[in-house]
Amino acid sequence: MHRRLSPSGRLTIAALSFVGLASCTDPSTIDTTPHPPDPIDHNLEDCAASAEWIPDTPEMKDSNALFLPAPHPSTECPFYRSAWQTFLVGTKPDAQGEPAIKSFAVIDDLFKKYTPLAPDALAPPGTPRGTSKRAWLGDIKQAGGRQILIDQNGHTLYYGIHVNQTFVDFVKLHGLDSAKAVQDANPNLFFTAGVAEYKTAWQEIDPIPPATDVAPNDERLATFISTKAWVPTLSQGKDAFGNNTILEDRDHPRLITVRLLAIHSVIALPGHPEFIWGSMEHTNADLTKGETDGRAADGHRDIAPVVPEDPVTGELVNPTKDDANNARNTTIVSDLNFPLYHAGTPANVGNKPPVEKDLVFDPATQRFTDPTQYSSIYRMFPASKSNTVDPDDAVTTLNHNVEAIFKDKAPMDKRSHYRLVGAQWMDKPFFFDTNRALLNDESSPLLQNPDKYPQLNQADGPESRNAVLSAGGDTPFNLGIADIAANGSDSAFSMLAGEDRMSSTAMESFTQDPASFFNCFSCHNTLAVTAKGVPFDGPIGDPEGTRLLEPKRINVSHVFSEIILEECTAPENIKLIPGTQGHIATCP
Amino acid sequence: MKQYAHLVLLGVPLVASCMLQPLNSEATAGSPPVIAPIDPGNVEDPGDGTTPILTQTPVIQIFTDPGVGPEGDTTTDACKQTSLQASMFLNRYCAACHAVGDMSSGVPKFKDVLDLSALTDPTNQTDMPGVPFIMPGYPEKSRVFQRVSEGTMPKINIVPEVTTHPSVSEISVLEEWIANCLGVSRPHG
Repeated sequence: MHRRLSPSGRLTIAALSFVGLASCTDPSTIDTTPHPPDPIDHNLEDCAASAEWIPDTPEMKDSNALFLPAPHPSTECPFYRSAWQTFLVGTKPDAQGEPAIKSFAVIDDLFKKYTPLAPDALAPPGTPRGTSKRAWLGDIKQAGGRQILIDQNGHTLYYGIHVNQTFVDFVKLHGLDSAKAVQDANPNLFFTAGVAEYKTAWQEIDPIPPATDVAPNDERLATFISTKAWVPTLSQGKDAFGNNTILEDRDHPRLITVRLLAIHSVIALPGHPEFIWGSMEHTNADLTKGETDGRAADGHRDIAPVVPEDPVTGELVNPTKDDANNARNTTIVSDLNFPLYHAGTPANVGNKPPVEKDLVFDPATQRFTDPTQYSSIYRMFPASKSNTVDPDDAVTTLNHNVEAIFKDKAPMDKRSHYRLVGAQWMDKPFFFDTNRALLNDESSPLLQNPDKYPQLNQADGPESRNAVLSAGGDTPFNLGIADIAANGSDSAFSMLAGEDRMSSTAMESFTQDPASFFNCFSCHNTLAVTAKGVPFDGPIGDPEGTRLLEPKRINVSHVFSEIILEECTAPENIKLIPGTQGHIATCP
Repeated sequence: MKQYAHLVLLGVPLVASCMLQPLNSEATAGSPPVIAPIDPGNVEDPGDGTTPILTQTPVIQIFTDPGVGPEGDTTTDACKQTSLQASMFLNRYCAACHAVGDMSSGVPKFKDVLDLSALTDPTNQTDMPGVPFIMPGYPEKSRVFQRVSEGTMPKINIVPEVTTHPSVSEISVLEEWIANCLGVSRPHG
């Protein structure tokens, strides 16, 4: 949080800091840049980790972690902690060394199918998912544009959606165990505290000939959470328009070795049914060598590079307003190869999806064979924030403090090789309701009526907005927009908190730019959902898409829209919505 | 699982300080923002620029009134915070009509919204036979939660705060209180 403070506030902070610093870690010790902190920022948030998290991470509900954190201007630390702890719970190694999420329920486990799977297609509940008759991972086409990411080895990534037992219980309790039941669900049903889901991005690791399997001690797995996974067999077929398309056969999977590149860890807290959306990614920082990685700029994130410094100023940069998608940024992002980036690719060439119909695919090797089609992805917003390139102090210090615990208690634990990119939640959950876009755009009630809402369920009262509005000189809407542009999610006009330009380079690779689906709530809101996993309505909606679910509070999770996509989008289930270009999928 | 009956059974003094007070924003309007660092626990700083080592699990501050934030009291017990918030919810949205003795509303008359023992007494009749006001561990089987979450409680004009329905966010706190903070936790697994 980097909100500018009033003079009286600074004095208060200064007084508190004198006391606080005596007992706190000095955050400047983990800042390796030559820039000393501004004197007024000595109140940097030092976000603590909990020693109890490692190695045997307790469930959130068992460690006093399910509570409603205080809103702005209090610390955002508890939100980030929830993301970290949820990650640690989901990736905790079991007795066989497998990450916990490998045994977590997936969509196949949650819902009855119209055509039931073979009786032995699913492994017994609570055991590692995936069998020779049903893939565990898949869904290779990313949400947003349904585009395919291809790594530097010519493989696509394989994605997983996993849910905790509380999510399973929620589905059972409310009878949401079929696609039809989901479509008929009460639109006002909301997720309860403790419900968690994960989205994972896994990279295939090839055996090194003449070996036919990847050795457990392969150095490519050394720092990664890895496992054997049943993934769909891919093929090239034709879509409804006769174009080439990549098909996934989940019922005839193949067993491969995969390593975890990135993961979203997402949990609902009391008062936050919109979920706290955390995102983690791999780091190569070696704690045993004294390396540290609190933020992307530390240079250890190794699945994709960060947009480079401006060659003139030497400073990291966000996309500019007049070049929002870096179309004129010809800077080489990196001279190094990354799993998702090809060395030497300029910024304006990166983050471009391949054209699916033109993909050259070899079914025998399950590999895309034209290297010019391989993806070159980079992180477009260095700190995942719209208004600054400096990450939130709470994120940086929390990463650092978790490092310290790993170093002390479990330096070889592979979870120590992942870091929190950021998180996102509603700063003003008062506005969470059915059929809401949950964005800081023209749909926001705070921008439509910025001088209203005195009863917000958070600490940004109307006074802080009125202070901006009283300056005058423009319409209230534009003043609000300008304040958000200056202060990002710390603006009193912002409905959202945390990293408002957060995308996973492995999962939302092609939708990072501000004209696309630039943060979690762009797609995970309570509007109607389409087959592309994006809203049907709203400012960035897809009104020509196929509507899978009507507006519902549970639409924040795409677990539900995914089962509709799988079960109810056969041609006989799709109908044109009269008077529109859009369609609707109806489950029988 | 602790049971926080006392929070409501001691409702009279609580009402005196909380009744119909806005849950959050108004309490701090105009006050200077204060950012309190989370206690990082005991940290040994080697003093040589290397990574300090956290040696003790820190106490994470849970504010008993998020509206007051760092200026308010804290607890280390998540359910204590949730229970206080639930109590404030009932005071703010329900008490004006359902804690005023014989002047209370409802058919049958419901006057015990601030009395947890009465709320959880299955022999107390609600407008839905067989459904108690609150069944600990089961919000969806609790008439108070059903009516609040369905949005079927009428707006009234006696006090301004009750002219609005609670937000989904506030209702979710009430849900958590019934599900996990009244001595019986929602079944898991």
